[in-house]
Amino acid sequence: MFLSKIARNNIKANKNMIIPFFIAGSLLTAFNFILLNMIESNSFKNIVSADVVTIFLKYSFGIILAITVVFMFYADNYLSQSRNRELSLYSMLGMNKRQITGVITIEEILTYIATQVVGIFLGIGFSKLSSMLLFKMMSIDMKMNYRLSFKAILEIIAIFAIIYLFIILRNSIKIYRLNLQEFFNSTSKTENIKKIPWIRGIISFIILFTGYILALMTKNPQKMLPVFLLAVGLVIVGIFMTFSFGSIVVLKFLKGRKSYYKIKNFVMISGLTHRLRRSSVSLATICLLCTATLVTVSVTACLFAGRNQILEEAYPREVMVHSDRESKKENLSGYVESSAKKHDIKLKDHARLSIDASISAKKDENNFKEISNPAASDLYQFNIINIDNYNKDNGTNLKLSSNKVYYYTRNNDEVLDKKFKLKNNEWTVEKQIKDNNFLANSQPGKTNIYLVMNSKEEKKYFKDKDTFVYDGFNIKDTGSKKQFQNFMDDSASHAAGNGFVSFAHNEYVALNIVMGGFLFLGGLLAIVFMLITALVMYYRQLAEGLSDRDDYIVMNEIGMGVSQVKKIVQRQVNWTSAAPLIFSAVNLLFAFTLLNRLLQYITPANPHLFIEVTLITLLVFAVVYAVLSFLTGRVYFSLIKNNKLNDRREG
Amino acid sequence: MSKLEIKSVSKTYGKVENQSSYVLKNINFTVEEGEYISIMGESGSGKTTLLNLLATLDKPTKGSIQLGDQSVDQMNDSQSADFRRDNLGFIFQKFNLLNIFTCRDNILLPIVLAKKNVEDYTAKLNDLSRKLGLEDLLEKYPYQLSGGQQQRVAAARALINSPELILADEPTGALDSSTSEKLLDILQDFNNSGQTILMVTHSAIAASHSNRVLFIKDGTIFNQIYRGDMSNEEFYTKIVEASTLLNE
Ligand SMILES: Nc1ncnc2c1ncn2[C@@H]1O[C@H](COP(=O)(O)OP(=O)(O)OP(=O)(O)O)[C@@H](O)[C@H]1O
Ligand SMILES: [Mg+2]
Repeated sequence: MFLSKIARNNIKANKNMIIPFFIAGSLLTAFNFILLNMIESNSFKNIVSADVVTIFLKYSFGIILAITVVFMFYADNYLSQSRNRELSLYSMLGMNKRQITGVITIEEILTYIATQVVGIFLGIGFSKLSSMLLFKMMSIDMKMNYRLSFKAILEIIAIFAIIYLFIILRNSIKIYRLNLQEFFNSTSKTENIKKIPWIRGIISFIILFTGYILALMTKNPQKMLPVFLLAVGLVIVGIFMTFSFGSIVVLKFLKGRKSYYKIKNFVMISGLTHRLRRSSVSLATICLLCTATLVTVSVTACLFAGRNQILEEAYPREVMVHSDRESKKENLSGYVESSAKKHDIKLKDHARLSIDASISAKKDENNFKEISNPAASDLYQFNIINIDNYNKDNGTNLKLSSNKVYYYTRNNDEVLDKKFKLKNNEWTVEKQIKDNNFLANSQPGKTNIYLVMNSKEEKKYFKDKDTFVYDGFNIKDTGSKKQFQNFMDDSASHAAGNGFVSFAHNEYVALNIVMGGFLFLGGLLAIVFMLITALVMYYRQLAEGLSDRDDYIVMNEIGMGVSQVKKIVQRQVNWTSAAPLIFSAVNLLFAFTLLNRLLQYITPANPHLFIEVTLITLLVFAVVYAVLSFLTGRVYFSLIKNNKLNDRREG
Repeated sequence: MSKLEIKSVSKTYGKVENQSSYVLKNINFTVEEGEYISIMGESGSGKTTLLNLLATLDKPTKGSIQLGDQSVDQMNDSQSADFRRDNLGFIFQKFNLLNIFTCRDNILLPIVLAKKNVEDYTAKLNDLSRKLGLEDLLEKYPYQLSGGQQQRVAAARALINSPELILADEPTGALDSSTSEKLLDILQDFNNSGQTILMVTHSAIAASHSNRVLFIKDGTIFNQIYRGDMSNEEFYTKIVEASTLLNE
């Protein structure tokens, strides 16, 4: 087994490349297994409103599997670069290509076996734990239906076998194509940048900005998802092209300046020019990974922070009774009150809202035009309230002269000018009501306005509409669990045919299931993105460190001190790390405007909250990223130093 | 005062300090200002080791090395890096050019390292590249050059800073006879205008360009011969004679 001995030696020699690959491979195996096990073991079979979560699970598995495949190929490419240098030596000594392929195949099989054993072991270990975590996050208090799926284990082993098979295939093809001379010289050429490719630059900007503008312009909620995907595609291509073009321009500019001949610039600029294409590709990759991490984390965090608000929005009171005034209202809300008494439940904070009419409208200057298509974007929902009803419901004594209105909104946003037109009549805002015990089911994705006006005008302009009444109660004392359940069942059965009674409690359970599932998977995705980002950064530095090592040794011999080397290395790392972070922040900004609109449609929660959460996410991420850059910079420096630099201490 | 003073220098790589483990044993010699010295000896005799000590790339186990008024063996890392930068020029057996730089930038590297103004050296650079025949190669990268061309670029880099001392380790080792003859002539020219040079070589022809030849055997200076008034050819015959003596 001569070949396998060489393979093992190779693994040992390249351990600072292979160990991270092995760790990442095992973790990714474990993550994939955990998700697949949840899908296969059908843990949510008997849980209401959990089918959404199962769909999320499947999507997340798809995403993580895709990332796994891409990453494995990417990382293996780095591995094979450093491996090839040694194998080329064997080849010089007379080993043929078939034998070299054999060595590499043995190496790949060894890593495959190791990652699968460790990964599935980890996966099984953490599978139960993460299922428990997921159930906890969903606030499901029934006994967990967990089991280990043998099928999932087999499927994972098969999936990774296929991935490795393709990796081995690719490596073999590469070796058969390569000639010896290339083996040795593959890293030594400086890419030629005589002319700046302006046309390519313009095209890349156009692609990038088309992506951004798409993200900004789309307002129609139905088109948002496809447009989002298209924008993502354009931005990915645009980022790669822009990074490649941008680095040419920047380096060309820096090289032309007098300060190029400052030692701190001299080495950095030349080094970056030397491997222009490779470094711009990996910087663009890092940028996109950062963006993915940021978007996942901030959307997840926004939903997490907004979950209570979503509930509050849907449930201004814990018990909501909804009926139409004429026939059933006293009956229904009265019944709920008496039923509560019967079951020893104490209610409080009764509030009522009567909406006499409501219309959707589109704004044109200050003229609101009624519109019937509910899917149109930028809609205003006017809820008309007769002032007599308003006074009765709120115990107030407001008065209005004709063609004047009061209005209020959810967050006291000032959305109306002093004068505006609606139903071809000009209205004057008397006042915006700010301290209202807000009690309404607002329509998501629209600007909801509550308009109080005189009976006469209400009848004149909105005469053909029905009156809806919302009653709301909070619960002072829920009594026992059983009593509360009886109360809910009793009220609900009476409501049938008379209107609706709904309980925040029930909704809360469903919401928790969906949100908990979403948060869990978002968190998992974020961890995977983060892991991959860190590894790509590490591999980039490692590759640069390896290719720079000999150069720094020579420079040290000519008289560059170790501390100087360290300074230059750190500077290079700082500069090249800054670009991906800045661009991913820009990407996030545009992604955010689109996602924010999407989120607004799912939930009309406070947009300021999302902005704050996203900014905090960005800040935290920047710190983590800086630490990562610093650490990978250290790897780079230690590689260069690697006791070859002249720092022999003892005489 | 002599330029370079090597006093009872010994060197061992191992920890065990028995007599046989010494690569260099009690080396003593001095180099005067403007001298051109060759060091010869068979493979493994310790020539490169000695050169590394002088270059502050390594430290002697015993003894002292003095360049001008500076004690070379007492320096710490950053002092020795600065010292190399400010005082020494290197021409190594492997050319040690950096592929990330063009030849121009490779030659200017010592200037940039010393934080001097590059523009002040334009004239010097032009002069050197004319003498070394590098005018058309300056914008190329080292991997685009032949071995001899690379060696000349390395020589230009060693000379640009007008160093106190040039250290060369088999500078002609990889060159054909006519190219090495050119390089040796150039070195001799510089020596004639006052440049101090210390060169390790296997070639008697190369050594015949210098003023003095030291022979090293088993880590000690076995013999040395001076040129005196001899021509290159006469000195060459003398060196060959001395070499055969060395091998007995
Ligand atoms: N880093 C080292 N560690 C241990 N021993 C070394 C080291 N470098 C050199 N040696 C040993 O020191 C002795 C002298 O080596 P040196 O490189 O000085 O020889 P040299 O005279 O330059 O030979 P050549 O003409 O072949 O270049 C050799 O026996 C070598 O094995
Ligand atoms: Mg040697």
